[in-house]
Amino acid sequence: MDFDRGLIGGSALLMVLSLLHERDMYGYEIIKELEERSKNVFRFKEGTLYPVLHRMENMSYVKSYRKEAENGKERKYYSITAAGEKQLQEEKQKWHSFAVSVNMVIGGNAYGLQGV
Amino acid sequence: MGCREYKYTEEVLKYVRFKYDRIDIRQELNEHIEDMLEFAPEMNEEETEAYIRENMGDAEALGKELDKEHKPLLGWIWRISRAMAMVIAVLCIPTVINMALLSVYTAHNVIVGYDGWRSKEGIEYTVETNIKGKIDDIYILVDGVDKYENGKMVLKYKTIHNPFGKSAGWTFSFGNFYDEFGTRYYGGGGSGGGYVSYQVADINDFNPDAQKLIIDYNYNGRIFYAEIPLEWEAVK
Repeated sequence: MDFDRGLIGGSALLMVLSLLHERDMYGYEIIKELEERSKNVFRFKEGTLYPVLHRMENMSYVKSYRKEAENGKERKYYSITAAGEKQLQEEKQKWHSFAVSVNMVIGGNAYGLQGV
Repeated sequence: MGCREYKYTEEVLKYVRFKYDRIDIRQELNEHIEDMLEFAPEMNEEETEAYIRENMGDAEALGKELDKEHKPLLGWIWRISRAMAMVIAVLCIPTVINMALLSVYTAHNVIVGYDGWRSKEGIEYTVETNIKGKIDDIYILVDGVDKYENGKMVLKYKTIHNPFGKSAGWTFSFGNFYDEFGTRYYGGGGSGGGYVSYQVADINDFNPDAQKLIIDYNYNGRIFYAEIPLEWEAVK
């Protein structure tokens, strides 16, 4: 299954904030991490990440700074802020409610969502 | 270190109206493309651009989405606010230096007190007072008068300035004094700068029969009036 689509809207905020909650990353790293963790199910048009990141920065959920990456090249890193951490918790709650509701409609259970 | 230029990025930037943000966006997108191409197969320029487009997405759509996050109005407000803040900061530097100097003077004055401006040598009598008043935003505290062996009198008073008030940078001093007979005396003296200024006024040839030293300041409706009964106490 391959969701080849843009990152604009949907659950982009939740996923990106979750990654930045773990560590600071730059755009390319975020894209690769999302692909890897989803076992290549999420294959984004990579450019679509940037409007999301810039919107998050405008909303003060993240802040950016330049730093030398592991490959020795300087990259623009994003770091989650306190406001971003708060938003992440809200997004998790929303996602949990959404997933439970969808499962109720299709008759399944909310397996694996208890820990969310 | 700069990246090479890509047609794709330049096409994206055509849709970003706020040109001052284009530099950062160009750099970030080109760096992403650079990382992406590191793992791509060998390609000619045309193939490279096609590969970029395929992986990055439609340039026009991306440009328009980025434009929403880099609105010219907000960008200009941010740039103008930043420029104004810098101008204000530069204009404030003399004030900050002045405040720092005045704070140093103040600390010095408080430590030295009146002794920095009059000698204790030769004082025979003294009168202590606790007279308070205010002119503009300056508080005035008259602490007393010393009388020397040679008949000279020295009035001691403090002026306290509001650091953020209009008078913070200048010193206020009394110049003229009177006795109860209306005779005027000029009082030259000394004072420290700073927010708390210890001041002295030397009054010479004061009438020995006079029982009061009068401060009668009245200038442009700014008034300070005090009568100091000269009930001398001997200094041991």
